[in-house]
Order: sequence, then C-alpha cells, then structure tokens
Amino acid sequence: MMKTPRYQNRIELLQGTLDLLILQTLQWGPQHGYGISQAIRNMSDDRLQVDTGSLYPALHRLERRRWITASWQTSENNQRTRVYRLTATGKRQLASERSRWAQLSDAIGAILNPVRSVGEP
Amino acid sequence: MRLRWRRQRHDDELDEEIRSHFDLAEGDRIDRGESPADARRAARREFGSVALTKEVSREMWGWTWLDAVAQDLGYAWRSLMKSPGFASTTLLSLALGIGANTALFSLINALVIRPLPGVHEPDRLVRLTNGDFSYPMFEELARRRIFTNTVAFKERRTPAEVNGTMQWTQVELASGDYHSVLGVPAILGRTLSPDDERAQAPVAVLSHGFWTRALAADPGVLGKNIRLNGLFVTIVGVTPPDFAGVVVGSPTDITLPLTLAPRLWPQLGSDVLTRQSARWVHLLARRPSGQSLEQVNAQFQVAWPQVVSAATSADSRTRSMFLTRTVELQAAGNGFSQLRGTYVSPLYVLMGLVGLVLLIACANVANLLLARGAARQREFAIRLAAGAGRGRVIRQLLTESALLATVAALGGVVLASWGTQLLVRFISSSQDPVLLDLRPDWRVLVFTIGVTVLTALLFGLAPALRAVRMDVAASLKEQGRASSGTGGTRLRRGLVIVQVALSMLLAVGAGLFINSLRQILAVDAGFNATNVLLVRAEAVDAGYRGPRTAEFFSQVLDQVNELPSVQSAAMSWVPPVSLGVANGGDIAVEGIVPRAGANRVAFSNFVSPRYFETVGQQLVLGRAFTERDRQGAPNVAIVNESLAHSFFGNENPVGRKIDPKGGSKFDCEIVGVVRDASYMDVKDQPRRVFYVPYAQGPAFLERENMTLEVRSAVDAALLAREVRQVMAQFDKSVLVETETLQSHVDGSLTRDRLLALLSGLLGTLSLLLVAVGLYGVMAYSVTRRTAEIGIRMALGARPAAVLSMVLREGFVLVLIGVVIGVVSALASSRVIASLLFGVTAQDTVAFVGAAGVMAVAALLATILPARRAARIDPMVALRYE
Repeated sequence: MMKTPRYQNRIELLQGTLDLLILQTLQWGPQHGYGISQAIRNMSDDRLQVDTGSLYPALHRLERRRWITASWQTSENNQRTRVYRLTATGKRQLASERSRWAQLSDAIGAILNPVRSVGEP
Repeated sequence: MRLRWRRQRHDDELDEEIRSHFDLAEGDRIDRGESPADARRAARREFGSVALTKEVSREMWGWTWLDAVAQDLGYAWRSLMKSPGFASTTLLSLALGIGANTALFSLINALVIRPLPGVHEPDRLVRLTNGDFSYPMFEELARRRIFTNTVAFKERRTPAEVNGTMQWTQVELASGDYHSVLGVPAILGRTLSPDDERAQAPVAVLSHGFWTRALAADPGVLGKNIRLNGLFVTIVGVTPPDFAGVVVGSPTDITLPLTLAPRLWPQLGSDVLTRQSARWVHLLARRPSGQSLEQVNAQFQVAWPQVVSAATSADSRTRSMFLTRTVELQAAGNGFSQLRGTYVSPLYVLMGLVGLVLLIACANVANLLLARGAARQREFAIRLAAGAGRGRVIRQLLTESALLATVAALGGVVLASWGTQLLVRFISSSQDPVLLDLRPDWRVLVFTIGVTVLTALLFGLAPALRAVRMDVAASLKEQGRASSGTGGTRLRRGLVIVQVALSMLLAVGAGLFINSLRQILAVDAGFNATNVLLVRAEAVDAGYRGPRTAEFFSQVLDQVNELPSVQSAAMSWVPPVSLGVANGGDIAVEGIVPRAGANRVAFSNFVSPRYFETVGQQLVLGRAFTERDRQGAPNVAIVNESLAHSFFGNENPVGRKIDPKGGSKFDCEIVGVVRDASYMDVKDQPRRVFYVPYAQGPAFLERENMTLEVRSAVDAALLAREVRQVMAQFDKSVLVETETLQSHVDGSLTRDRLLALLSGLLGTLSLLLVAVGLYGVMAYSVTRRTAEIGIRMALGARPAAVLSMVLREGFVLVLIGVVIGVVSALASSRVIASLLFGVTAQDTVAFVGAAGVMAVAALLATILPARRAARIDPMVALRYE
C-alpha cells in the first residue's frame, strides 16, 4: 500500500471502454450499479472485473451527460436501489461508440496481425 | 445555500447507493454459500476505497471545484483553530505587515497616484514645473495656443465670514475658463466664466463640500453674499461632490475669478496682475488630444523663451532668471500638491521599509509553517497513504496559507485605515491642515489583494512543497514521534539569515533617521522656545489696510504687554523659524567696496522692541531696539554674528552704516549684534540676517500680518485665552491663531520625526520578528539534538560547553545575516541620503548600533534554547530516542 494509488488515471485509461460496456449492459434493461458490474463480469467470463472506484464515477458521469438516467426502486426483498436506464441519447451514443470501437479494434488488429483480417469482437 | 443543500442530497444518495451495492454483493455471496462474515469482508475488499470512490464520483457532478475549496477552507480553519498560538502569532505579524503596506500605499495613492476626481480626461492635463509664474506670462502663454487651453490659479487659506461666523476656507482664484477646461459642471447655478475674469466680478463658486459643511446644502444659496477678507462676494454656483479642486491635500472650498487677487489678497500688491516680477500663479494646461506629452513639450520649449521675453519686457532681472531656469511640462492628471515635495520621498522610503517588514514577517511565518510541517508529518503521511494525491495535500496546505493571509489581510485593512489616518494627522497641522481623500479605491484594493496573494505564496509554497516530499512508509513507521528527518532545517536556517539581513537594513535605516533627528534636535537654534506663545492675528484679512494695520498691531501689542501674566511681548514680521517665508537681497556697507561677484545677500526681519528679550536671542554687542527707534528717528539695524563676521571680520560693526537695499544710501546705522538664530528652518545653514525696527520697516508691512511672541510662565492655553480676549476687545472680526513656539519649531520637523518614529517602530518590529524566528529555529534544533547533546554530556561535556555550542550555532547564523545586511545597507543607504541631516548615509554609529542591537536581540533569542540544552539530563536524553 506504499505507492500512491492512482484511480483517476485508471479511469482515464478505461474511460471509453467502460462507458461502452455500461451502455451496452443497459441495452437489455434497467440495472443497478452492482448488477452492471456483475453483468460485465459474467459476460466477459470473469475476465473483466470492473473496479467500483471507476464504475460509480462513470455512472455519475454518464448520468450528467444525460446518456443514462437514474431512479430509486425498491427490490423484491424491500431494498432501495438506484437503477440506471438508457436514454434516447444514450442509445445513439452506444451506436456510435460501438462503431468507433469496431474501427479501433480493426485497426489495432491489422497492426498486430498483418496477414489475417479480424472480424467483429 | 441551495447548492449546499443539493450537494447534501446527492451525498446521501451516493451513500445509500454504495450501501445497497454492499448489501447486494453480500447477498450474492451468501447465496453462493459463503458465511455472512466472510461475505461482508469480501464485499468490502472487492469494493476498495469507499472514500475515494465517493470523492471521484462527486467530482463527476461538476461542482466539486468550489466544493473542494469549501472543504479545504473548513479543514484549514479547524486545523488553525487547533493551534491558536501559532495562528495568532502568524496572523498578528502578517496583519501588521500587510496593514503597514496597505496604509502607506493608500497614502501614496491619495497623494501621488490617483487622478483628480471629477475632472474630465485628467490624463491630458499638464503643468509647468519649477515654481510659480506671473499673470502676464499666463496671458502670453494662453495667447500662443500651444495648448488646447491654459489655466492659471492660485490657492490660499483665507478667513471667510459665512452667516455671521468667521472660519478658515481654502480659496482658489482661477482664470475664467477653469471649470470648463476641467470639465466640471455646476450642480446649482453656474461655474466661472471668462466674462467674470474680464469684469473682475466678485462672484464665488462653492465646492459641494463647503456648501454642505458651511451652508447646510441650502438650495437657495445663489445670490447670497459671503465676506472674504473684507471683500463681499456673491455665490453664483456649486460644483459636484466629487470635484475638490486641483490641489491634492487641500480641497478647495471657494473658487473666484483670478482677477480678484489684488482686492482679495492685498498682500500680493495692488499691481499683482500687471507686475512682471510677481511670481504667484500655477499654470495648468490641457494638451491637444492626439499629441503626446513629448511632442507638446518640444513645441513648448521653442515657444517658452518668447513667452518669457514678451512677459518680462520691462523687467530684465526676472527675464534672465526665467531664461536660465528650465521649465518643463509634466503630466498633471494627479493634480498639484505642496505636500509632495516634502513627503513623497519619505513615503517611498517608508514604503520600502514596510515592504522589508512584510518580507521578514513572511520568512517568519514560513519558518513557523516549516516547524509545524515537521510536527504534522505523520498527518500528511496518513493522508498520502489514504490515497490523497500530493497535489491535493499541497492544495490543502496552500489553502491554509491563503486563509491565514486573507484573515491577516482583513485585519491589515482595518489597521491600515486607522494607520493612514494617524499618519495624515501626524503630517497635518492647524496652520496647514492636510485633507486627503483616504477612501480606498480599486488601486488600493488591487494592491492589497496582490500583496496578500504574494504573501501567501511567499510563506506558504516552500513549506507546502516540503511537507509532501517525504517517504510515507518511513514517516508512518516513526510511531508518534513528531520530529523526523531534517524538517527543512537548512531552509529554516536560510530563512533566519535572510531575516537577519533584511532586519539589518531596517535597523540601519532606523539608526540613520534617529541619529539624524538627534542631530537636528541638538542644533542650537539661537533662541529659547520654552514659555513663548506665538499669536497670529489676520488683521489684513479682516480688511486692515495702510497705517491702520501698524496701528492695530502696535496697540494690541501694548495691551498684551500690560497683561499681568506676561513677562514680555514682542512682534515680528516672521517668527523664529519662518518656514520658508523670507525677505532677502543684496545689502551694501559704507566704506566697504565689495569684490566683484561677492555674495552680498542678507535676510531681514522687522521686529518690535523687546523682540530679542522675548524670544531669548542673545545680544552680543551694542543695544537692543527701544520705543525711540520710531518713524522719523535715525534708521537703525541690528545684525547677527554671521552678517557681522562676513562683512566686518573681527571689526566692531556697531556704529557702521549700511544700505539695506544694496545701493549707496547709507542711512541705516548698526546699533547692535545678536547671536545667530534659525531664520527659515532649524536645519538651515547660518544665514546673514539683520533686524530692523518694525516702526522703521518698509511700506509692504502695511499689507502684512505680524506674529506676536509672548513670553509668560503661565500655561499656554490660559495665556492664549487672555490674548484672544485682548484681541476681541479691539476687533472681533480678526481671526486669531495661537501656537507655542516649541510646537511651531516641532511642526517644522514633522518629516524628520515621522521618519525617525516610523523607522524606529518598524526596526523594533523587525527585530522582534527576527528574535522569534531565531528562537524557533534554535529551540527546534536543540530538541532535535537532545540525544546527541545527552551523549556529549555523558561523555563529559560540561554544561558551559554545551551552552556556548548552542550560542555559537545561533551566532553564526546571525553573523552571516549581519554581514549580508551591512553590505546591502552600505550599497543602498545612499537613497535616503537626501533625507538625512548631520549624518552621512554611511554613519558609523547607525551601522554599529544596528549590529549591536541585532546582537543583543540574537543573544536573547538564543539564550533560552541554549540554557535548555545545557540543562539536559544525559540519562533522560539517552532514553529519549
């Protein structure tokens, strides 16, 4: 624990991707923060673990950009949770992020594997 | 407030959100079969730092910048409140430093910098330098049209009768387009016009200040009369509140046409408007827009000799005088002021001195902060370990510094407003009231804010940077022990050296000014000022003219001499120490043919019998004046020793004859010799002076007010009342002013007293700050070295050796500082040379004295820590680590 933790930098690093993952997750329906982190984890076969120190700031950032909205809901076992859902702007954003991501990964793939062409992830 | 409330709600929601995250995560883990305790721990671990998540999330809301500042401020406030001793020491020294700087800047701003208020385009105004000019010169200059407009004016304090009461007013006579050139409108009635000037119309325009003060802002004031110097003038207008004339420090009350001068101020002479040798008006002009000052000045320099020649056609002496003197154009947007000549350089010097004090205070606070930083190192280590960025900690520390500086600045501003008023009162006298507009304007505001920010950075930056430059792990491992590492020891020593050096500059300055004042006070003025009251009666201003003036003064003097409490009373044209008023010219002595180019100038005063006895000026040879030395009797004179010596050498001048006018009509016999006495100024070189009986004086005395000198053992206030009663029996309309001769003399030394007093105060303050700084460093050093000193003592070092070791350590610092200080003082003290009297800027006494005082202060500051070191018990000390 001796070195200074630099969460902020990690957010910077993940920013584009994390936003994309969150938006993608919310495409299937409203979800709370914990649910989003679990969904990303499960869908990536435990390979991606979203750091809560990045998740919540990202959620609040997306909310501020009006790509998602939040509301309080009471769950089955009578627990209040803050649930996020995609807005219309968010959906448009998701589409453009996805195509950007596709281009980026295409480009990187082309550099890493000049012979083979790589399809969608 | 709403922002805060909204923030609170968001905070609560974030808390709840994170809580629900925990609950959900925990629930999941329990569902998967973990024990509740394990589940909880795992959920926490997985989550990481709650505080950081919250902080970063908050940042996403977008108002955290303001928020963080508020938070930092709150934290800074609490942390300062935790150490009230540190906070109050720091605040006091900074408040004094910032306050003193603001005070002097306010004064300099009011006196020199601020453009004339209420004046249109003040930056286009120019003045003609180097003295006053004649009315014909003004007319000539105005005719040449080098300037868009040219304005002449003359100001003087004049008694006025308003609604039956006499009071002093500041009267300004001005050429007809004065108000229109300055762009000053009338808020009531009209302003002056060129017609008024041509017609010599007795019309008066009042300032808003005078209108409200003396006439209760009566809207029906137009057409009413006021009596000025016995002349009735009609009020025709009132100017706006912000306009107070063009003379800074003496706001104008009443403005009249310049051509009224001979009727209003008979002292100037009835021909003052045409006399080519009369130098009495100030010239102010507006340069054409689009032409720079340099361009206009170039044109002016070409035209000026022609102006002088045309305006001195009948007076070759004045012409040659003006043609040999350079007259320049100078920006006059800040108006005129006689105060500037006297006080500008002292104020700049004092500004420099208070700047030094502030620097010393900054060094002191930086020093204290470094010590505090060393003590708080664990706190910083914890905060860094808990995830705070170094930048964040630096910001926090700088916030503390900013808070300190800001609170100090607020205190400083209060001190400053009080201090400026004190300063102005110091340089103001009943004769010459100084009324400066000291309300802070944006310049003062910018200055104070600038100084405050600079101060905060100066004292806060180094300690803040140092605080975060540490090994977090090492700091945390040093459980509870406050002192670790060097704690910026080298930096702190450097600061003490800087403080000592700066303080030496101040101490040397103070020494020079104090020594200079001592020299002045030691000057033998040649008269005895104790128990003498000066009485000025403004008879001429009350309408006395011609022989009636002499009659009035002689009768009053006789009456005063009859008062039982009066030992002797006399009168003179100028009092001892005339404050610049002088009557001088070439004289001739019968039987002596002067060498070509020899200086034959002598000054004169016109005195009544008993004058020398009354002021205590000693008669060396011959006789004093008597009642028999009157008009018609043989003309007589008494000369002073300087005159006697320079004209007669060692011969006896009594019985010799002179021509006081420098011609060859030797009709005035010297009947006595008196000791030299100050004529214009105590700081004067001895001048040649001769005295003539008032009754035999020149004709101009009929237009002059005399000063009475009254010697009495009675209390001055009581005596003044008796004299006033005598005056009132003669004429109630004559304004009387009284002052002891001592305070008159003191008043002439105000500048020197001000410099000695303030530099002394600042020097003392700086010594105090240095002593505190040195004490802090030494005490800290002793604490840090407790173990080492313990070992030394265990190995046989005697307390005396330890004592001298610590003292030596302190003295090395002081010595380095003193050497640097002395060298810089030697290099810079020349700037104050012109303000010194009787001492050179390299005065040994001042330098040695300053070093001595510094040594004593340093000894006092070091002796306490040194004695503590000498008393260390080796056994305790060795257990200390």
